[in-house]
Amino acid sequence: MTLKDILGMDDKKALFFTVDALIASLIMIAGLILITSSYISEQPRSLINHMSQDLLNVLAEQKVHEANNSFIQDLVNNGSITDVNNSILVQLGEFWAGNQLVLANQFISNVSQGILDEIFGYSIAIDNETIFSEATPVKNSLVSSKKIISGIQKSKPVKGFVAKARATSVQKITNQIVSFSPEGSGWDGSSTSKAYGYITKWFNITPGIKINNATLYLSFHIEDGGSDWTVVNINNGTCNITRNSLGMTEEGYFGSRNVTACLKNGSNNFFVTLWNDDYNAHLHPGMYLAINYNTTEDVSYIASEHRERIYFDNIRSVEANNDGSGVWALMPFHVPAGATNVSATLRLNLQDVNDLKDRYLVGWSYQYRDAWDFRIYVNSDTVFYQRNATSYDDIDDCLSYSAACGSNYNWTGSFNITGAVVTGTNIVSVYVNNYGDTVGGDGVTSIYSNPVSDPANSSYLELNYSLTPSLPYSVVEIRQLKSFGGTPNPTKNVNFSFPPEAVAISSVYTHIAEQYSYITRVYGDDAYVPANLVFESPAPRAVPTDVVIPNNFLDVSELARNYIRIAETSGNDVRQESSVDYGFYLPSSVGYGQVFATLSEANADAISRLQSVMGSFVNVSTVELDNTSMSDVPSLWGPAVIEVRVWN
Amino acid sequence: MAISLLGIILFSYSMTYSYTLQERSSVIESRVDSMNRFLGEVDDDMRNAIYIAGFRAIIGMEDEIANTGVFVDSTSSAFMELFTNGTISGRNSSVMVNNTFPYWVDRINQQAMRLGMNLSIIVDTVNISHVDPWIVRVDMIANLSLSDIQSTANWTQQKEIYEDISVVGFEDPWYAVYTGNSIVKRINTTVYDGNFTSVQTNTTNIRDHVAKTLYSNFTGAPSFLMRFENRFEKSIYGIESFVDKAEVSPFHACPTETSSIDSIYWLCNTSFVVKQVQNWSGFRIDNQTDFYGSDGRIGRYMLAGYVI
Repeated sequence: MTLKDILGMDDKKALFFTVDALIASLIMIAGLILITSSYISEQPRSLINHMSQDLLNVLAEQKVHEANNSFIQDLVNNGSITDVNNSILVQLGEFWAGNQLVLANQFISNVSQGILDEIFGYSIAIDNETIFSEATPVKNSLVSSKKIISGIQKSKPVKGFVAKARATSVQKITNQIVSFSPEGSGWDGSSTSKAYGYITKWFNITPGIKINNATLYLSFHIEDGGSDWTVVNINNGTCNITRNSLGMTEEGYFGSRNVTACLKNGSNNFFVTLWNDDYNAHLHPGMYLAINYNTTEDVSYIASEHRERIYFDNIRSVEANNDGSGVWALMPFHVPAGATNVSATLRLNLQDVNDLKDRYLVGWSYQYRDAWDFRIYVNSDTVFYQRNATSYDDIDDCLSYSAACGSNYNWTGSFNITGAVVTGTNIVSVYVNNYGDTVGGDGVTSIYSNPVSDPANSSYLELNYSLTPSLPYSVVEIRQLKSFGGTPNPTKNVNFSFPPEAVAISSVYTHIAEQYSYITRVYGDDAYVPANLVFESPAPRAVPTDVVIPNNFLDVSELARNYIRIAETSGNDVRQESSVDYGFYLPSSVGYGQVFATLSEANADAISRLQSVMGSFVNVSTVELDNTSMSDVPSLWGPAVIEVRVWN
Repeated sequence: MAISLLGIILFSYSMTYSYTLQERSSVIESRVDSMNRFLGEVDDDMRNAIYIAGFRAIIGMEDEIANTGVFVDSTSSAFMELFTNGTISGRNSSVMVNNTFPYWVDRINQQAMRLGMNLSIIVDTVNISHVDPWIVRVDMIANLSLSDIQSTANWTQQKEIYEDISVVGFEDPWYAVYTGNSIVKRINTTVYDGNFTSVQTNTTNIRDHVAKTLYSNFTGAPSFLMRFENRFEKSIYGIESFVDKAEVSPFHACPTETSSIDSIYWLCNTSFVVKQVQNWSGFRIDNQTDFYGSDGRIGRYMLAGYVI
């Protein structure tokens, strides 16, 4: 039995199986070959992958100074390359960021030459912008490697300049107030024998300033009938204001005059002549000069040590018809909240003081009190100092036409009034032979002062204190004036806001304008109704023209509204010409701003920002700049993605 | 033959399966490789970010001190606040806008997202200190986490990275405060170290050193960073300059017999014995010793033969 018999196959089937086996074997061999070949094809791609990464690493690690060739040296020499410690990639990124694409192309072409074998092509792109590409076409594989670098961005300075600016001198528009406080006086007399009161005020207008406008507010009590006379003589007759020109309808007068043309740079003086037929003539609260002016000034620190000498006006009371003479003056001064080491000295030079003893008649009360020669009050109705008479002349002697008065003497002396000083507005009142509505002086009683030609012998108040500056750097002070407006009323309010440019409050005053006054109260607050009582007359008629509003009751922010209220308790009106005089500081410098590609751009930006913080109060065209800049300031631009592509 | 075919089928299947596994493995490997490479890039660029944010934070501190006239309580705290938050004492610093370290993290994370990754870098501490009188080191410890969006792989690690910044060119905070921001002086290293005086040049070099307000290292002086806190102690990283009394006295006047050395002049400290140099009005030098108590200032500036 053959195999064919056993398997039951014939020859054809055997042949089929044999061929089948052969085909199967071929398939297997072909499959194996295919599989093997497919693995082999991966190897070149892996090599390219390494090539691209290696190229990227080399360019990232190699420093510019390490690529030592003449082309690089030329770039260093001509300033195209400023930091030879940059890596090749960072330097390439700097060229790209600076839009120096041709230079970037030449640079990378130069430094990458020979790193890869010639069989490879490569290109370099930053943020998908091709910087360099070889012309070799991609035949087979292409592999890309990327690197991120922060601090680089298209058209942005890689290292730039920041600048800050400081004004050393500015031209500004601001205001100055010259106040007259209540003082007097001219006593009685008659139309034929006038008893005048003379007041001379000296004040200085800084040389070089340009006066835009000057308004003199007049507030006094004088005779409204009879013959005319010059009430105010400005700068020795440059301008005269006569009584008749005032159009008075009653003895208490309030009005204003434009006196711009009457003033001059340097020393100015006002000579006021007061007279009343049957009463005493004197100034009322609210008499002040408001000067709006342009000035160029050096920017300065806020002082921490304050030393201020405030001179009395020269006040003379001239006797007539043996009716007697007497002078009085209110001297306000202000001590800011937070002041330390406060000291105040009052120096008086009193002339023709009549030495009196006996008694005097109090007003219209028909009551008599003991007389004295002169008295001083400090923030109180209680006498601070009184000089008693030594002679025994009767005060009435001076008031009679025949009897001799006491002998006159001059008195000079100083008082340390520090213990009586309060924070806020202080008032020193001096009465010389003046007893309410009665006088006892003889001849020409006066409080002597001449700060221009005889300051040492003048009457003055010297105030010293220390105050930590609200800002630690140089500033520009601007003062603004705002009237209360409206109509006269015993209680008047005003509100005001500081401008957005203000960085701190310097000082705020209210100027009280009253035709007749008695006891006046002032309130200040940053809310309505103003609740903080900042001043109250310490005695009847002790109403100064200026009252300081403590800064801590106010808010400097532009959105805040600040309020001041003046209330006259007697029912007399507070006039609409009352004003608030608010001072604030503008910064004189700006810090660093953005980073710019060039110093000039950074400086221009600093100047622009300085103009902005100073606002319209300062004429920026005259700002002198002392700016400084910092170079090589990096920025977190990007990150830029640097891509290296390698192919074969 | 059936056996052969079965073998072929099994072989083919196993080959296909094996190939699929290899492909998958290759994809994962490639992904991990990409992430690893990205992490390396982040590492490298983080140094860049530390330098830039650190550089600006120093400017931010100077700007704040110049604008407020107030020194910082802690240089490290102020620096960290600027570096990580762009503020100082709660106030925004203009120089830090879009230049804080977290800003960089956001930008890098955007890059990571494009690659299908999530990156998180949380700053643990940032410290600034001297490694040299003229170099400060910004040292940061941060927790870094990188993961694939498809959770193929993730990294979590704590990194400590530092970058050095030269103090040359930065403002001296003392001048900003003591002159009310009126005089700006920048740290500028002297070119006369070891050559302040000589027989040939006499005192020409030291005079130029003073006139240009150049700085020299002296361990009897406080370091650059200590100036931000208005500290006057000696430091091994101390640097100092001589003030030009005529220039600064309008803003900060001290008694004539005060040393011209900045750290002594700003305090108006007259407790040191000072010497003059002939024909040099206003100039005074003390002989305070260095950190180790050995060498004095007169020797440091080679003035022993010139003081009177």
